[in-house]
Amino acid sequence: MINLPRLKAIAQRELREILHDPTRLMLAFLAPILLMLVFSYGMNMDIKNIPYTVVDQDHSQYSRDFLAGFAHSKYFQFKGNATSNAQAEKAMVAGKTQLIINIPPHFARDLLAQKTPQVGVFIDGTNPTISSSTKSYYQAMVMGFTEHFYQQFIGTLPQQDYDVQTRFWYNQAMETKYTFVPGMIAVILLSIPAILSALSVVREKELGAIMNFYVTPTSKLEYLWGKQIPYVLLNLINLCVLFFMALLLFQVPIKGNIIAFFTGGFLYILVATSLGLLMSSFTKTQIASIMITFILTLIPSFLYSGLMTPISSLPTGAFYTAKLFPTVYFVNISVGTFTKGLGFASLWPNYLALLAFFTVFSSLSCLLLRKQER
Amino acid sequence: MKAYIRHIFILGLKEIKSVFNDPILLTLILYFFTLDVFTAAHGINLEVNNASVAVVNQDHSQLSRNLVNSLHLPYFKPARNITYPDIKPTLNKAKDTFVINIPPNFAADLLANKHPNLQLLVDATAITQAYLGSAYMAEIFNGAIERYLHGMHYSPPQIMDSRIRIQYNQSENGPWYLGTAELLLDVAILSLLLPGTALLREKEHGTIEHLLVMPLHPVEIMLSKLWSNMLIILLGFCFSFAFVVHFGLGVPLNGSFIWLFLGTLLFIFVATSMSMALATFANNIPQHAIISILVLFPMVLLSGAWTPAQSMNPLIKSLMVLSPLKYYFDYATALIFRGAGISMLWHQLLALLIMGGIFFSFAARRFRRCFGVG
Repeated sequence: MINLPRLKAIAQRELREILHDPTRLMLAFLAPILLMLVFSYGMNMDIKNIPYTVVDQDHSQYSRDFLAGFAHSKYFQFKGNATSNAQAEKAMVAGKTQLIINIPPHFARDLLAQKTPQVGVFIDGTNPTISSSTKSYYQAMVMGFTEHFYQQFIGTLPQQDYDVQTRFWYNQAMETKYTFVPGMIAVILLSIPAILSALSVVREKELGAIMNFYVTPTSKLEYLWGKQIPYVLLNLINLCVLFFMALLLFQVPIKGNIIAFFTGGFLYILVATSLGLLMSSFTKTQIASIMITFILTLIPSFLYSGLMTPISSLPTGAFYTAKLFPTVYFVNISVGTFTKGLGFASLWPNYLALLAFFTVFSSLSCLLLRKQER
Repeated sequence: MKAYIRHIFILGLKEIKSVFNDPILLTLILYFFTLDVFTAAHGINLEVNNASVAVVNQDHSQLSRNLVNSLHLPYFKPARNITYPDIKPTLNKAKDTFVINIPPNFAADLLANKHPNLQLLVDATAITQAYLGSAYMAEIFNGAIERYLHGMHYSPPQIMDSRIRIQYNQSENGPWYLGTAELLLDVAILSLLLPGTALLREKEHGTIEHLLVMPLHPVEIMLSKLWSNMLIILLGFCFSFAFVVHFGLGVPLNGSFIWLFLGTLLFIFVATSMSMALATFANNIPQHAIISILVLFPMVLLSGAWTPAQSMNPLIKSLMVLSPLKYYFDYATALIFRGAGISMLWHQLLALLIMGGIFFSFAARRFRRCFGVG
């Protein structure tokens, strides 16, 4: 079914085209490196430095003690005192502060008299992720202060007769990079290979070179795979570069099976490039092909990869959407081999899924690509 | 002057026509403004929400049942029962993010003051949920155990009463925020992609030569591409904001629509000018696509839409000062959710205006050099 010399000829022709466009070639190598640098250094999923404003109407030792806890916490960042709630709220509307702590007059007096003074707490709910974290960090600060106060004035808090022992597996230090760096490899290696291969076919359609395919006995599969091979090779280099960046630059050790990582990476690049080919098999213009590839890779590869929210906690609809994107499977492999110390034995379903994607994408491309102009 | 405007108008009409002649492209633009916003709003959750839990219950007492039942939505899914040997595969395969191990005789040991330990095992590669989720869980368990020991109406000692109020998005509605954020990001993506690609398409097809030999000023060609693409995106935005975000998702508009419209117009101007400027650096569409990824990916992922801007790396944070999307995002969310007036937001508008001026004049100069006749 496949004529090897023809396949080779098409692959060589495509490779030559890429080599003749050094700017594109350079960009194809540079883009993953730059993106990896920006994301791995720049992104932080931890919510910290929440800007807060204080309205202290008491000015006592106790109000200062309570507020000192916030000043020393890495989760909060002091944005100044306000004389009234209205003034502080103005800052919140403008987006300069996200938490207002309003200490009432006679806070210290009521505290000592055990009259539970009311503290006004205002949290900006615009982004619920931030507000819910702010709420729980605030409550933790209150608990700390309560304990401190009890010890000083009332005696120790009632002792707990049990412990809840929390063990953080795979990443005891809870550092984002151990998930994020291997995860970003998956995000980057979907969009770049997909966009490159997506343009390769539709470009010929738009510029007319596809005539060579129409008028020669080249089969659809030969044409598609021939186009795909150079991009697979090119991105295998990217895979290696990203792998070594993770290892050496970001100091994320690989605890699991290296072969499992690279096998997964190879399959994933096959999937990404065939996704691009699929997009270009039915679009007519490069802009349409870019757009649809962006829609399918840019945001979903990030949101549905399990990096932001574990797949297991997505609502049913989103859970199946996520399963329909290839990213999550390679995130499992990449994070699994790097940080969880796993190998084929635990990860094998992910390889099957990637193989299935490759088969489906390739067959669909064959179905949708026309051998003759309509 | 009159001829000048007429040229720009007619060339722009041609541009709009070419979009309408590409049904796939048109569908994709529509998708961006409708379904994409909807799915993003309801697809993911960035808080600890719906987190999945497995439990190894070796106690089978009333207390252990209470503990399991105390985990509830929206924070946690109902716990799944597993056996002790299943713990490792469960976390390895990311089937669940949390595993609770209740040891045999937990309740009896607790009553006998034998200080039993409850184990909470967390997949710490789930960076967004591991820390907060385990903190929530420990709090919930403490409450459940205290109630078991001291009666249903037990509440821990309290020295102050924090009245926490969530402002602006009082119900902490995630879809409101995520849907709005998605629309703003979509505006950025389209503005950066469409005009530059349209320009390069003319270059690839050679039709730019036709335009340049006509008695047209290169800036006229550029302006025509700008206004036509801006119009398409602006109409899309208004439609999407009204029917998808406002009526569909129910997001209230607390500020003035006029200012939202003007701010969006200004941002689209900045982003489309930026797109033109970038296109002058590319020789063909594939180059432009990678350059766009390089600019768009960081701009979108670091805009603060999903990850809190305040916890970013300081270097990257200062780089974001150059991103127009950052200003637009802050501007639009303050206006929509917090009803901010223009007196608080003028500096974002000013920043956009300056950027627009810079990008536009830069693009115009480069445009003349790249395409113009001397």
